[in-house]
Amino acid sequence: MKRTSALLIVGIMVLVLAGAYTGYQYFQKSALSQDLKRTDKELLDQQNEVLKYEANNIVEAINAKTVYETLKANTLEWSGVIKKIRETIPKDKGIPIVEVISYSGSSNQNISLNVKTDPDRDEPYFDTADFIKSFDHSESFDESFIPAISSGLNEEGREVLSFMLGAIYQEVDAFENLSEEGVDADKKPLMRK
Amino acid sequence: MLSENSENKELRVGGKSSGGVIIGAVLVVLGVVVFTFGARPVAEEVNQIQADISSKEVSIVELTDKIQKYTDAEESLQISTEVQRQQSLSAIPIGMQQDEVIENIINITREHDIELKSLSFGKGSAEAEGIHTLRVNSSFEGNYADLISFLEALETNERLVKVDSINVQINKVTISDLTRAIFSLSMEVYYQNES
Repeated sequence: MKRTSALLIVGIMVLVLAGAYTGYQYFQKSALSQDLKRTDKELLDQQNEVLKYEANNIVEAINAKTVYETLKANTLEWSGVIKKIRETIPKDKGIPIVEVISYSGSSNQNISLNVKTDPDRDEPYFDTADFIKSFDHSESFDESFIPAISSGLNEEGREVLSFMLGAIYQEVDAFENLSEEGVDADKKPLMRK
Repeated sequence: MLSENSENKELRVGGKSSGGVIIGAVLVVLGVVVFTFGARPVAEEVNQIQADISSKEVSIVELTDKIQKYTDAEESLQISTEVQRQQSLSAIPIGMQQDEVIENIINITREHDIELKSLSFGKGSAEAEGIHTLRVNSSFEGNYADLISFLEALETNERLVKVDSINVQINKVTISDLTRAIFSLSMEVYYQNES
């Protein structure tokens, strides 16, 4: 009976395994090379797509719009504030009962008004009280305060009061001011008779 | 006779066996050589290619996310058309374009019959990354009645103008029964870095 050497069997197995492993690696390399080409192409496509966005200033446009939206939401529209101030000043027969000499406002929504009463009116102190009451009742102004009132006379000898009003402007949602019937429900102060 | 035959057989068997051992050893060595010089370098190359693919796939995912982010932003911010993008860039342009700011202010003042008294500028930076501010301090004179429309024009200007503070002094002109206003505005306009 022929006997085959164990080392010969081991040798054959080692050679077969080494050959098979080498073949497998070559097969892997070939398959992965195809994958690499596909990945390279995909990467190039995506890079070109990003470049397209960057070349057309789309990134800058996105930044601009994002910042614009944020700033616009936090910006106080002074035209609206001045309209509100004018609306809030109490009127008698359509004429403001006091005269605003100057006003100032800052982005922290603090406003201050320099005011003098109408010399043709009889009760300037009551007018001053009506004026502050009007700001107190307005939903658009908070913390209305007059620190001092000074009295003087005009050229015709009539009493004129001067004072400064400080307040904080509050932006009110237009829809909040509508009652169920859709009527403006802004609380208007009653004028002193 | 019998013992001679037996010796010869042992020799033959011994000869065959040593040949097999030699061939076996050669095959083992050959196998090792094939593994070392054939399989291993290719395996290293395969690993390298795999790592290369992995890193490129990560880059693709990042770029895809970036593109998706841009696409989503375009849709949500409504800047998918060229016109919308131009409007957006007009509000906060690339580069300071101070000349445009001056022209803008002058045009608005003329449209509303307001007289520009003074302008001063200062550079600054905004909270948002890559956004800079140009602070404009200005003073004007005009009819008090035109003040609100003037402010509205600034608020709706194509280039974003944020009025930070306002000072208004009202003077009644007794002869003409007109109310004049002298007012100063502290404003900010915005721009992006030129790349």
